[in-house]
Amino acid sequence: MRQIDKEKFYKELNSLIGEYTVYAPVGDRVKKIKDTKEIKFEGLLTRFPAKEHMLPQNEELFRWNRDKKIEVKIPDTKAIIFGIRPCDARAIASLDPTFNTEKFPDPYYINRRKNTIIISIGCNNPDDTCFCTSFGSGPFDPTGSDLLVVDTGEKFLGIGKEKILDMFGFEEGNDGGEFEALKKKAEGKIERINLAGIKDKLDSLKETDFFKKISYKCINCGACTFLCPTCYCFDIEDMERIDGGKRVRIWDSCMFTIYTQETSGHNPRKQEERRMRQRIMHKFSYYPFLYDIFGCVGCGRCISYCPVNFDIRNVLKTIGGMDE
Amino acid sequence: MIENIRREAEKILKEGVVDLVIGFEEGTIPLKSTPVFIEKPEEAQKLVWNSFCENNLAVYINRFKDKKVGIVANGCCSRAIVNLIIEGQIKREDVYIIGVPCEGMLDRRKMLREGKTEKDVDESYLYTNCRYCGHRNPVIYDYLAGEKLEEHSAQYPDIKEMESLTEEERWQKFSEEVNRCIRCYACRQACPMCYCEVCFVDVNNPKWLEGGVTEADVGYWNLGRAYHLAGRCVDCGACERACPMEIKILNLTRKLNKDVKELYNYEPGIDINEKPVLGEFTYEDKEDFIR
Amino acid sequence: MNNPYLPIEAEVKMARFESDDHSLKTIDLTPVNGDIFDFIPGQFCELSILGKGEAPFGIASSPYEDFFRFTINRAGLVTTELHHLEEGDKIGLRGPLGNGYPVHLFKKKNIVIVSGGFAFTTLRSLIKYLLKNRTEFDKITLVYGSRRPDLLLYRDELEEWEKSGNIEMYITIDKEVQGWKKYVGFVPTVLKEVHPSPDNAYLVMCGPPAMVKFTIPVIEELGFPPDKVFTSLERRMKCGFGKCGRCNIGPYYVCKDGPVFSMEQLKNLPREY
Repeated sequence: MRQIDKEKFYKELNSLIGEYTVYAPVGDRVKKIKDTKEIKFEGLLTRFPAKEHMLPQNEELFRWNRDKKIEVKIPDTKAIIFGIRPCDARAIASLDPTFNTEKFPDPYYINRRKNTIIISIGCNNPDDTCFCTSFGSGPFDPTGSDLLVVDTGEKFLGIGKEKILDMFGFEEGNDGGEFEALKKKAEGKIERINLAGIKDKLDSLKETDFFKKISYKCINCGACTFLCPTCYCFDIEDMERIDGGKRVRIWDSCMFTIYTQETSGHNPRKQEERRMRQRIMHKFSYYPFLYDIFGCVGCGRCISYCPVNFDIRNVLKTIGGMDE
Repeated sequence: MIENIRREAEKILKEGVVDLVIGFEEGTIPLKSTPVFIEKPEEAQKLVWNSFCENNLAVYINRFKDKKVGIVANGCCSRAIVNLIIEGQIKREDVYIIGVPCEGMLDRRKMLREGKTEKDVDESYLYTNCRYCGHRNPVIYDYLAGEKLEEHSAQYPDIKEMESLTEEERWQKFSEEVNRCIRCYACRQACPMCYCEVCFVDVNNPKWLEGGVTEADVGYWNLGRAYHLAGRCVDCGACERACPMEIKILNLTRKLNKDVKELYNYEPGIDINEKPVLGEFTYEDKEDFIR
Repeated sequence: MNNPYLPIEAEVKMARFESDDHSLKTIDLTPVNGDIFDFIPGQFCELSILGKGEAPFGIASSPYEDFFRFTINRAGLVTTELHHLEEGDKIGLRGPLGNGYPVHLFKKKNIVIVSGGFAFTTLRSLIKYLLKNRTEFDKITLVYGSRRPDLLLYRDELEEWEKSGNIEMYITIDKEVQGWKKYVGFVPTVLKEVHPSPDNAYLVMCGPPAMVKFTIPVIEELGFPPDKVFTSLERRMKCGFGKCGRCNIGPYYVCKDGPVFSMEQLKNLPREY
């Protein structure tokens, strides 16, 4: 098991600032840091997932001047995102099949992804809203991260790409079974929801009253979608300026009433239950159908931040308990 | 009191007085009660009333336009219902109000940050607008579930403190709060008085503001919404409690409420026969602040 | 890497109103740099007015013509700007997007085309394609109706096709109008009267929701199996290639896996249209 003194790791990370743009948790958000001293872990998860650095809330697609000449700037700075949790890293990887496609590749996302090293940190103390183990993952899952570090107090244990481990100077050593012990303890704290057959059960629900009843209390804000690490829906807006203008991609939410509103006045998802059905089916039926992975990583942010305490775990358990 | 609420809810469902009762039930995360929609009389046992029933249930009334609705309402929720009646959004006969005198809601996020649990329920954690609440008893009801509490008039010491700051300090305070906004519209959706079919931020002709999160955009959004609530806001705090970024929206809305009270001696949502204060004028209205 | 969000510059070569009330306008565009790109009838393009926005429009021209033709119904911000275009103006164009009609399935078959109002745009593309390769297809039947004669699109070409005898044409309007010599009646009624045979045939339908709702039972009555009936759907679109997430029906995006779907495919999807 490769390992390194925490102090040495942070010193090495500090020296990379400049060559790389480094993002790390500072309180409740993942921010750009100028010095590793700024890093502050507040609670388990940052309020905002790190997706804002892969898919910014406002991203300029291109701009034009008075003569309508178009100018494009594709992001190409090297970056390191450190200190996010394994669920956030897995969530970024789940965006790849949508944005990194052969036909119509998204150059902004692809370039950012190519130029970013993701270093996640394992969860020694999961929250009681976590349910990542339901997806075959866990608090120490390195999927989606270039490097996963585990905090043992003095040291970081490291699992990941050789190149990255060498870059920081991780050395071979014997962890004395500590990794396995921490992993088992953390996994024991996480609720595991049975998702077997969930896609088929959802597909059979279709037009029933089920979605109507569960969507009564949802107030249709965008809190869950904006804080969700796997949500990616966006709107494209033209912004005019005195000397030209720009076309910008901005976050949108399928929970908003006007999301599918057409100019004619027709809205195929006017009713709340249709929007709720879209959200749940997209994450647990359509995404697995298209790409074999769920559109949810079990981070629990939607549960903690929903103003009315809509709990997706209850919905999944109810559906899981239905006969097919 | 909770027994009264449950009994009354069961009664009105059994007797067919209402098709559905909107209330609160136990939440799935610590220190939270969540809205519940009861259609069968036996489910009335699920209802709870505690210091974590922080949402304003009046937002849900208009979802059930074709049904007769019962609602468990405290002071600010009943004021919202009165306001909706004044503004022609609901009819008095379509709601059956189970009135609940309320001692205020506790700031669950503050309690969780300090590692407190249900055992530490203490009035030091009251939300600001609950601490200085002027209407702890429901202003309108069909059934009163408990004994009325002593009323004090609404106070605004938090706003007075803000008013004593300099212009730069006030701008600093405003920017700090509002720049965290992510335009998720949880505040707007949680507010019973925000019922416009097309909100001003979603109109694209004329395009009042853009979809970005620059200082200008979030500033305009928050101020615009606060001003659209002037003279209509019932100070329930649902907006601030819904905000996932914990922005102190009440700094804006309570200031406007204080101004309306001082200038026009009016508190919204008290009497269903009143007209909205900014919806009509009399010749006696003060004009000295118009320069 | 090709940036699919970037529009190419296109110049307006022709702009004329179709309807008397000026609600419909047809424009022809050619790219400023480069040639007309190849496409399949049924595909669409996103037209950009920098500063106002983008909107999707079905391509009304065929791949054999040297311009892109679009017919635009004035409804909102972007379409109003498009209505102000004159010859020589330049706008942005992104395409071709979508899947197009399955013309490879139509070889040696009878094709029945049913349309109403200004949904006829992509069908002009399809008909011109079929006529160019006429010998590869058997009988072609067209049932096309509109509220009034001036709301029918491409009237001069409709006359041409009728005279050529290559298509059996049934053009209808909703209510009797003085001087109108063709059919009178709603499209589903006329289709029933025409009674095309489902044997060895495919049916393509493109129309406003009201027409589609009443035409589907007629098609079922005539005996057309759902996997031989195709329709083109419309949704609010933004990116046009399945990334922004808003135009999906079930797991399929109307912009990427559609807009042409068979009734067989739609049967298994949530009824969100």
